[in-house]
Amino acid sequence: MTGAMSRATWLFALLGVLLILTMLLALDTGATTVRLRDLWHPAGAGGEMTQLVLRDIRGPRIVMACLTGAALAVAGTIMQGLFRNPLADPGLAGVSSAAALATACIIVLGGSGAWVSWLGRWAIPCAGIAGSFTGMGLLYLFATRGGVTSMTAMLLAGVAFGAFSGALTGVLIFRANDAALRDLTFWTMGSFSGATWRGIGLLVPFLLVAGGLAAYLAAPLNAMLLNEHNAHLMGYPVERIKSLSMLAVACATGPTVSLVGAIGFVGVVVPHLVRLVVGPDHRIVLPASAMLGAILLTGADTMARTLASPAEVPVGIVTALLGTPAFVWLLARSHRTGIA
Amino acid sequence: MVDKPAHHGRMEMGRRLFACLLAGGMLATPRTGWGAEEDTVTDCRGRHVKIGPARRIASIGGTITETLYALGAQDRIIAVDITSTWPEQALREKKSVGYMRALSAEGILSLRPDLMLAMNDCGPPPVLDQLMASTVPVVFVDATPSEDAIVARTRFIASLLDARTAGTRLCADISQHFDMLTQWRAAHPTTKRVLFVMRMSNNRPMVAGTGTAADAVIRLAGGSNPAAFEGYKILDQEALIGLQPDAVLTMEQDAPQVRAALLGNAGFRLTPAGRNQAIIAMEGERLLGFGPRTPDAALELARRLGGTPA
Amino acid sequence: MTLELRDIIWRQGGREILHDITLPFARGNVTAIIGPNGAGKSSLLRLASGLSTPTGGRVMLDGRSIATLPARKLARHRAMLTQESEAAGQFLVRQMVMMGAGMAAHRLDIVQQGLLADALVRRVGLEDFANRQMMTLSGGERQRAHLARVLMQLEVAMTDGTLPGFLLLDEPISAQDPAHQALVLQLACQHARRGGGVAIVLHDLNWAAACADWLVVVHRGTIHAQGPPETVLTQDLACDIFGLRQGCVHRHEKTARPFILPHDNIDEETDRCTSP
Repeated sequence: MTGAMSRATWLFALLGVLLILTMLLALDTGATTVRLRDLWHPAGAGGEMTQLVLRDIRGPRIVMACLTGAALAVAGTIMQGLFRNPLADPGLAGVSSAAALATACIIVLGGSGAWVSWLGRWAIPCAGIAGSFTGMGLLYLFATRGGVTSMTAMLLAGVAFGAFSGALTGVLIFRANDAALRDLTFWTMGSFSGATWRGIGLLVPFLLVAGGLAAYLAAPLNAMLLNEHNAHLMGYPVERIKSLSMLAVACATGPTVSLVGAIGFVGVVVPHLVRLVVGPDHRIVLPASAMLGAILLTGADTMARTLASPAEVPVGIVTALLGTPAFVWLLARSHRTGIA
Repeated sequence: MVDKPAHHGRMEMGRRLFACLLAGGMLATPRTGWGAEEDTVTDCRGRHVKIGPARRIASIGGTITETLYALGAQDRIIAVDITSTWPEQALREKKSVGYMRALSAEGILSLRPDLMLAMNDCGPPPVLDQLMASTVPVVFVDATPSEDAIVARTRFIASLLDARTAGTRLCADISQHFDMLTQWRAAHPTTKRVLFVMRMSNNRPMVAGTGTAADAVIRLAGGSNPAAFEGYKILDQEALIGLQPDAVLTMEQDAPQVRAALLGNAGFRLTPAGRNQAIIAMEGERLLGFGPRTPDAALELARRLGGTPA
Repeated sequence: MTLELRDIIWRQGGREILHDITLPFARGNVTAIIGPNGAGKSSLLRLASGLSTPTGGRVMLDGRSIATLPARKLARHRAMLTQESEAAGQFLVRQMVMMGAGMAAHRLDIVQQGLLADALVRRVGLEDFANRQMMTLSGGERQRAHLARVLMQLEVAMTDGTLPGFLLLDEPISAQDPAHQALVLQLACQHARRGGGVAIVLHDLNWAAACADWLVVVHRGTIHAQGPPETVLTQDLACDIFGLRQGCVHRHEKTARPFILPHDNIDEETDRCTSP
């Protein structure tokens, strides 16, 4: 095996162990004094509490954090491969801003309309998912002429769309009363406190689609790095790769952002860190990013719910606080070594 | 709004007393006697909750905290949320569970409260589900901003704490303030148009329409709210002139900015409120919380509207 | 199977770049395409590869228009080395060459792919660079690495019995030193000897004359002349098309192929032909 491949094996083993350890640690940690070992030695009357905390409070949070971390990291990897730009972020695809806009609509304009009250608390995630796919669809249609998608056009349109959504969201903010304003603010900072097993059930089908697409796209994305012409000459269906990539990003990011809120930096920083160790081969970077994203976000959530106990810091703040210095370090490093 | 003549005032009093009794009666659910260790109460969501002596209360909502302090039960509180801004020592002395609509289930559970008293509009829903599924009794308190609701709330909370005496006293206090308010309004009929400005955005006022706590307190104080739309809206100059407010009401914490922005607004100067520089600032939670202090706040507002210093 | 351009017209941005191009690339032959700057040589090769679509006319592979072939199928029969090959940054040389297998990679197991890639890396003279990152290589070395990748594409296709495909090379020796120029062109010739078709766009007339079985001269968007180098590369051609001086075309004693010495003495004002 070449150096790169054996390094990859080591990396996967390490990440696998870290993931399991992080999940166990997260399960063991929390504001209450419930510990993992309580599962085996339930302390009498505390048994019910143990069940509740571990199964219904911490459990879904940890799973949701892992899934979200993996989804955002994979989406970021695909974006960076597709745009051949290490600064590309899932948010550029317009998915996050569209989801935010749809969510703001529901939060601020409220529960008028029969379908909103029927969906109840699922109104926000459903609106977010619908919004994100609509946003992505619009961008794709705009950037595609005669069957050819221009990634540059998509990037520019994504930026413009993001600004426009932001403006519309701003209008809604102006209209919001205090409660709605607070809700929206907390949503934009992201939190796993609302994680439930049902929410995870809503998320999983989308993530399965995204995961399947990512597996298919790994080798083609390598070829795309050589530039689109060469990928075409090598026999890859370039336009289909682009559309499938955008679909994968939408499936990974839209539902996640809708359920959890906006969490930044994971999509940009994690693929970078992985590439530093194993190089640019997407067949390794995609799964490794998923694992590292899961580890980091679960760790961030554990911090978020214990740092300011009994209150809770929104997890987006933790990722921003940790992610910004990491991002700056990556930029400085790549500037020095001449990458990017 | 039409002013109520004197005999109407008496009917008001009677109505309020009836409400008190009704509220108390509704809450006189099966009891095993005075000073019982465990009771079952019915909260505003219709849930039957078994509560104990309530010595470690998590108080979620400024109005609830205020009421607990007013009942003298502050030592029984272990944690409050950040909307509990009155009394000032509440947030200083007690642990904070954060914003009431962004609670943390495990955080609250870690405090081992024996009762969680929460305003009905707290959240997020999944966290509330988790808390309701735990062994901690969770009791939701109705958040309607109306005079009857204030009394009902106070009675309800008092009954939970077995603080009958304090409760009755507080209720009477509230009723008394309401009576003073009614008398004042009877004696000083007014047709003052009052706009509540939440804040300025881009130098334009965000104004409360119908269905808001601000609207309710304005009407309580005897004024009328010329803003006929629902919820909050940003008004441009023309709309502001059209409404012709006699006075502007705002919250103390935002008063300097609002005052400066409004007085610099040409449209505002064409309104009676602008010409007389009638901008009234009062403490936010006291005014809008619809807690024990609100009747007194409404009275002060009524007095200031009538031109009398509070 | 032949790859041929038939009645090709190509317009871009309102300008007609190529017209009346009918050109078959025969198997077993090395076809060299030469011409002055801006004549349309690279465009011609791009049209032959399918990267660009002609405005008029068709490109046929074994009698079928390549526009009807899916990219995957086309990639088994032709591979192209473009002029603008991205640095491919942090990929290792060996990794990048293995990428040449493309969508056909599943035909070979990973070990066989590795062996094939190693062999090709050796053939292009990069065996010492196999585990180096692409961005640490010089321009010429990168060009050869991409050539290895292109060869890999055709080699993998051949493992299931497909006939050797068409190798399209756009200026493959532009960044090479003389020894490696020879190496690259030898590889091209070897591919032709195995039965594959080779089309090379070259600036260097001598190398074109030396390795081509068929020489095609493109001038002002159309084929000015084509044929074996001896008949095509005449003094008149050198003067008319390339603006070179009289007496610059010579004949190699041993191979009988023409070669050109554009100058005797740089400083002398020599007898120039009229401008082309």
